[in-house]
Amino acid sequence: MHEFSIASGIVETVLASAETHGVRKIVEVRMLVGELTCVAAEQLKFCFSAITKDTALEDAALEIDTSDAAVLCPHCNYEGPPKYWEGAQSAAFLPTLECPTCGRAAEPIAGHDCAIKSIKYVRDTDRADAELSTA
Amino acid sequence: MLLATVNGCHLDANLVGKAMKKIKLDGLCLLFLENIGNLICPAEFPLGAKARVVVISTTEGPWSVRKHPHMFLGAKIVVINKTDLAAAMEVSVDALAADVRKLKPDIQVIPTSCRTGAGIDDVAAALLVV
Repeated sequence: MHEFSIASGIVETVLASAETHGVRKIVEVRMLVGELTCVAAEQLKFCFSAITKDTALEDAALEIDTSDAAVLCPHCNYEGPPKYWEGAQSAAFLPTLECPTCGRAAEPIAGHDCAIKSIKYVRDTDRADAELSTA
Repeated sequence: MLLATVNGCHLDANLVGKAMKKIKLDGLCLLFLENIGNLICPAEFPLGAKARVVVISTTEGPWSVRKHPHMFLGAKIVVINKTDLAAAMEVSVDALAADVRKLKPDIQVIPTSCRTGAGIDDVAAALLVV
């Protein structure tokens, strides 16, 4: 259940940012989570909602976008989507680091994201939605 | 040193960083960080180590690698222990090694048996050159 510690990190970071900007009510936090991470969106949302009670994040929506995996092969210079392992008794195809063209070891270059991309909050003065971009 | 994460399911770099300040590092050439628990949660938390070594054993059954792919994707060395029990478990060490290489072809796979001592020297040699 590593989602709890990730959710704690998100909440700490967002609340610190809210305090810096004098924001008292946040309505949405948007995250980018990569295909190569083991972060389960539903569990992350559950943990997030559980630890935001009585804070500026109470009832805020946690929206999660996914980034696709990509690999770079140092042997043949292939750059693009990874080779997927089909038939591994897994419900989903597993991304691998075997180069799709030459079969040697490739390195991941995308898909490891676990980042806060933006925060939507209510401005105290005019109650209008505003957006803080952290990208 | 015995680790206590107080119900946490993995170490993270922050915890390691705090611990490193309490350990006398002078004169050490190799420091092992043995992570807590399972093969899922720790996969996503690089600890700052030079190399990740994943130890599995034949008694975990034939699907240990493909059930936990992320842990192996980040590994440099995979040790398959308890090879002396492979036959009794009806588990193929070669098939486990093939699964590891299917995830990433350049991972070094070392079969061992702590009971017989087989392969332990190979692990020591591999650790000294990471």
